[in-house]
Amino acid sequence: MAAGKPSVTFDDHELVALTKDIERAARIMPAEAAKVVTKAAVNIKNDARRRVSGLAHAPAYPYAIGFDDVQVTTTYAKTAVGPDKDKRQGALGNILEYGTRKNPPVPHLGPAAEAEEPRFARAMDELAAKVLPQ
Amino acid sequence: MSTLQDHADAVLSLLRADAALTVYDGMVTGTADHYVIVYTFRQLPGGDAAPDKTPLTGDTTTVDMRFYCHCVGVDGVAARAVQARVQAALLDATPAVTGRACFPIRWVEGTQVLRDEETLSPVFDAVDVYGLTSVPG
Repeated sequence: MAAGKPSVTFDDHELVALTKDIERAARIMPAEAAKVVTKAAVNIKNDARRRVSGLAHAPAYPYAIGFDDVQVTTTYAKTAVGPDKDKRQGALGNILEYGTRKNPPVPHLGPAAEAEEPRFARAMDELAAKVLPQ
Repeated sequence: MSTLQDHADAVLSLLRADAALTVYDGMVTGTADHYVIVYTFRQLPGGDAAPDKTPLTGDTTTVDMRFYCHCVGVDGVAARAVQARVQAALLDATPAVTGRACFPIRWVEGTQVLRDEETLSPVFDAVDVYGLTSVPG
């Protein structure tokens, strides 16, 4: 730098530390998020089974409810909870959830998902706080 | 009269205000070939599920009702016509329930028009689920 010219110095050590924290979080987050999603799926499955248990005409249906393997990428972790149509009485899902013009519904999947939503949101908040130092 | 019944009455009244719409409450009791049959489902969300509507005492005061509206007709056109009338009557309407402050009715979920799976008869049914939430007021 030429003598007499003004100069500016930037202290970027906090920015560098933040970058490292974000990189670390990005590495950890997918696997940790998958655990949270799996836990939520288990809770929804169990709750849905409980809500729809005891029906005389659909004794096997609750056992058809399960969830897919959790798919994880760098931007999402997802699964689907619901009845497996290949399992015994699994095809009754729509009829039970919504009812028919002749039979009332037995809402179980929707309410179970709604009941889990606040717990899931809280768990994700806690995960974010855990992997990103304050 | 129970709060549950009050909520049901308020929504059924909105539907019955449409003279061209045949409305059944939980059971088909007539011979109309196109109609809406309504099933109700009640939830009582506590502080976890409805923190913004729960008082600091923690008392459960929120009522969250779901109305499963089966819109039935002899073909897809008729079922969709019933569906449209139900939508016109309920969507975003704010019913009056004594002692309660109601939020506008919202569409929650639904199905496409399907032929009756139970009897495989020429009857078509589309389901729309509407939600009504209220708090004391």
